Amino acid sequence: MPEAVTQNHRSTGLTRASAATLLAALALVVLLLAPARAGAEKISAPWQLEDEIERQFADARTTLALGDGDSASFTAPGKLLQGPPAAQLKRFAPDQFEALSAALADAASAARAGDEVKLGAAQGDTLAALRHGSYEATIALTEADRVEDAKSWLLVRDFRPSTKFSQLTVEAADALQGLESGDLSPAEAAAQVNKDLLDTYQARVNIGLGAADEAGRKGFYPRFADQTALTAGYWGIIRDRYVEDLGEEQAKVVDGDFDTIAAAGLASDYRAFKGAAGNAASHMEGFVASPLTLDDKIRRAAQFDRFIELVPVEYGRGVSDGQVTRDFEIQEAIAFADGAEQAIADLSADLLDQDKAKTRALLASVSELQTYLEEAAAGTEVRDVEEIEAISGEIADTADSMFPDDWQGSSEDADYDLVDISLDQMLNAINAGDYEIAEQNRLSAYAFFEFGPEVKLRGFDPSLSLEIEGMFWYGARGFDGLATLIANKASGREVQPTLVELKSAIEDAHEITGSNTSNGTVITNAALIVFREGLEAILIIAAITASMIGARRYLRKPVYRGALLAIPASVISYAAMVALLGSFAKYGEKVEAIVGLMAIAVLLVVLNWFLHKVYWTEWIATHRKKTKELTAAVGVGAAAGGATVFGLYALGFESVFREGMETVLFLQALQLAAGTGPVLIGVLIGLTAMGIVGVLTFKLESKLPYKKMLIVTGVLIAFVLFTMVGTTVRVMQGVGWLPIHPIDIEIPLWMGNWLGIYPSWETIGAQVFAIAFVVGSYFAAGWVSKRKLKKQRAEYEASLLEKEAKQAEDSEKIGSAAGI
Amino acid sequence: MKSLFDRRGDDAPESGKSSRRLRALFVLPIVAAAFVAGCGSDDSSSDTEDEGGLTATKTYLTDHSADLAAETAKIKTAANAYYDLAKAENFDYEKLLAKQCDAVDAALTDAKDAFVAANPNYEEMEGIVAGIPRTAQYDTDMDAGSDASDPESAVSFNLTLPNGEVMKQPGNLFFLLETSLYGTNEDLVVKGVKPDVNCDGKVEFGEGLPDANILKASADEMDKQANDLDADAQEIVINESDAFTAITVMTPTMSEYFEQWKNSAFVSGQGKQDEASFVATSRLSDIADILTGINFTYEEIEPVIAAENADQAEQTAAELGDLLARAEDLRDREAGGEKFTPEQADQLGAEMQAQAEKIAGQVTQAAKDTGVEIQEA
Repeated sequence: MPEAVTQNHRSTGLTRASAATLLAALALVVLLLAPARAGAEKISAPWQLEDEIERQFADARTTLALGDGDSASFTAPGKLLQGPPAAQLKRFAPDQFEALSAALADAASAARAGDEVKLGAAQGDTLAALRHGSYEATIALTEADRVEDAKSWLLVRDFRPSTKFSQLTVEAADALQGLESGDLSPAEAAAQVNKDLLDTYQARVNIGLGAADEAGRKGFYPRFADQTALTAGYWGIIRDRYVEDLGEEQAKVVDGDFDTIAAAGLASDYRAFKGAAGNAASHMEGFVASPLTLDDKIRRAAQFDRFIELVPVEYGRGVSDGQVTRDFEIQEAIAFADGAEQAIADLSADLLDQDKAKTRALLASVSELQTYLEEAAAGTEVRDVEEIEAISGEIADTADSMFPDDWQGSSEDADYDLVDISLDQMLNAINAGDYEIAEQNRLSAYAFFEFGPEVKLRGFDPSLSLEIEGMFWYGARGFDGLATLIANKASGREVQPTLVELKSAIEDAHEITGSNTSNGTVITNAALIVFREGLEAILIIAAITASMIGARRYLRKPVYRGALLAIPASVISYAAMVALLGSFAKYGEKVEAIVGLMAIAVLLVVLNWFLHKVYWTEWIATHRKKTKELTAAVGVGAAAGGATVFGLYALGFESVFREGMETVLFLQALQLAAGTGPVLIGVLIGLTAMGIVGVLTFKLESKLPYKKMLIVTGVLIAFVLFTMVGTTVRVMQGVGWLPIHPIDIEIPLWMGNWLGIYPSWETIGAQVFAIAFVVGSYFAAGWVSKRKLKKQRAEYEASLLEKEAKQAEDSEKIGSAAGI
Repeated sequence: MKSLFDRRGDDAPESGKSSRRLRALFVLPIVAAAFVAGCGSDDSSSDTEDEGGLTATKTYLTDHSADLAAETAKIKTAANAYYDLAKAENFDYEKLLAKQCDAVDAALTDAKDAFVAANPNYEEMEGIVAGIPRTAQYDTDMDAGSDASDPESAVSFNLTLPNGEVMKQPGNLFFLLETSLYGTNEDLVVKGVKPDVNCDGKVEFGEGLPDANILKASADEMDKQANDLDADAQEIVINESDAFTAITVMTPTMSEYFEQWKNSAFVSGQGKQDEASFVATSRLSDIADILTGINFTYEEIEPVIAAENADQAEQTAAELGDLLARAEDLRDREAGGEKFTPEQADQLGAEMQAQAEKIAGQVTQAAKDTGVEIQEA
């Protein structure tokens, strides 16, 4: 029999149990009383005051609750409120100090009387008064630029608990840090502190009402009393903000609600509480103590849209023929509906201002949707997928018609949320062994990142961006990529290390893209972007034009013209797409894939032309030069037709257009973050540097001997083709146009970036095919050229024979004539 | 016009100059590119720890993971012995109890004893294992994960039984072992046979006749996971970010644990509980054990917080110490035979939960002050 179970059976042994209880009680009394006295005497910091007060209550209430005594000890208010924190509190928040003193006196009296309910109520009153006082003191001290004092009072606060959809926020601490570093003025910091604390206490009012309701319903009256008192006290913290929005008269009505709530707690009157709580909720409908910023609203709106969109998707996967076939999909649908409800609740204040009836109907529909899903999960009624789709669609349409235009912009925070949610769904699907859905979720997460924050990130930290991409795909930082892991059907535990590292990297990215950036950084990054993208373009143009010397020099012109035209075309196309499509980013990768395919096609045409008309003809001419006539023939053969000129024009254009579009996208991200000035300076520096490298490259190129130039050209074109094929196939995998079959090898990230080498059968296979095509073309062109030359020679020799025959004939004729 | 051949002819003898130019043509863009790549790469790693990381926390972890592996090996041995006995009787459990009652009792008692040792051992390090995202999946699979019906927290493994059946995402391993060994989950025990395992003529609370296939598969999987965890624990470098994350992630989960405690047999009474698990060890004991690990971890990062905000460091240390003391006090009272009512459990749990939430908030605030990243769980 295991020990713990045995102990339970032994617990009937009265003597031993009683002795143990007595000992424990004695130990507790000794343990609790000693530090209480010592603690009360050495209160020098605000947190110690709170800690001591909480300890007093915990001890006293535990004593009474566990029946350790008919009464409990509680230190007198005079002793607790005699240190420096009490003095500060009296100065900055005199009303709260008085309330605190009174509540502590009530507590001491209730403890003596052994009245658990009154003690509970006194605890709620005490903690609310203390935290209200702390709120006032923190704001006042922040405004007075007394950072250290403000920090010490900020330690006396409540927190808004984190949920699945919102992390625990500590913006007030952030604000004080900003004040300390000089990034924020005292007024700005105080406003941010105020926002955080008001948000916290409004959330706590709602949580407190819920907790009081539960305790009251169960008849747990001491807890009912402490929650009602605490909640009524917290209302006092957000009251001034309420007055700002709804006026003093309306605030007095809410005062009445909370007075009733507190009184109901003290009187253990659950029914009275229910009525007053309902009234309070109704009177506070639409009131938000800490209004959301526009970015917050965009984020919530994006979350809502996404969650509502996902509900029928998940439901559809979990239901078939009126039966729940996959429980976990229904649970996912419920989670998304809950997330949507939270998001719309945060937005409801604004929506209620706009149209009360419509907003209430929207909230009711969301609630109805949640009920349907719960019913399916419980198996009581399983609705058709079409019905869930219809109601979700109606909700989305209603929300869409109500959300103002400025909520529908892009929000970086929302993008990061969506990446995170999709990654979590991916892991859930992996754990459930559903790798197809896991892959869909991976691609969703990647798309949210790629089309959202990545553009900006590549402007600020390209290497981090590459690492994140690597972890999404084939691996980076020594971790396997998610694409590889999913393709190999790795378990959740095997996926976890990559996921953790990826999330950490994404968190870093969030910080980088979300932080204020200095002008110096923006200038440097803008310069680097222009320089980097420009270099890629120079390399391609240099490769194409390398062989165009001598008789073919004129062919450079279409390439250069195409390249130059691509610069304004990139800017115009970008502007047009933004104007037409709202957000170009959504289509960026597909455009990149299409332009990439076109560039490959043109490159193949040029390669073919190069091998046929230049390389082999030159090679043959080098080894078999015979006559000036042949040279002339080569010259004719090397002349390009109209189609080739157009191809060169297009190649020059596309090569620069691809880089141009990327450059404009990245620069826009910087421009949005720091304004036009620094970006322009950076662009000028980048262009200058690029110009120098370009001039040097083309100058060197023109001085190379022709034979070497042929080699250089061949190698560069093959290199460009190789890279372009790899990158384009990877982009096509990204947009879901090609499948992914990873190869289990580790390839450094730089090889992907500079050579387009990624460890998948599709990318490497396409590159091998491209190289095979180049080599094949080389030999095919050689065969064709030799054949052609042979023909030319035969014709030439025939023409020589003909000429000789003609000459002989002419001579004969002349001779005959002379003979005459 | 100068022909191509003429031009070639001029340069025909290969010169050192042209070779240098050729090299320069290749090298120039590559050097420039390398420069760009170098300039653009801010080191994104935020890990500023010494290479060894937080050594005391790591030692705490590895000591516990080694002990856990030793105990799970015993569970595995006992479960396999039980399986062999059942198999020898062709899984006719009636016959098995009739013929091999002592052997069955011995095997199951060994398994339970090892379980009772393994579980608290794990709980003491759970704050670290579950709190660090890199190892959190072990916690889901071994101790906290649910079955497939809750995908958000479901375990990541399927259990393949010796008879070839597959239990898809069956729930965490401690749950499987505990509820099958103690007979509180009818899906995991033999049906239609009176589970009088010690053959004393009566069935007491905690007596269970596990399905041998399930018990063996669960024990084997548990042992495998415990050994994997031990191996990973030896390798892991625990940094400050891990410690901050562990405390902020784990501390607020007390609410859930108190809820489980309230609904367990320890509070509701044997046979009346809603919770099938937490039969062998009270959840209160788990709470105290988890807080022990969290407290230990906090001690190692306290100086980091104190360097930035001494008050903050002291406040959290005091609150954590207080929370742990209260949890231990309740645990000891319960172990001493004191029985808590659901209302007492509710009130005490709520108070401690409020304190735990504050601690999580404080540590998050401290992470901001010290610039330490709280990782995404």
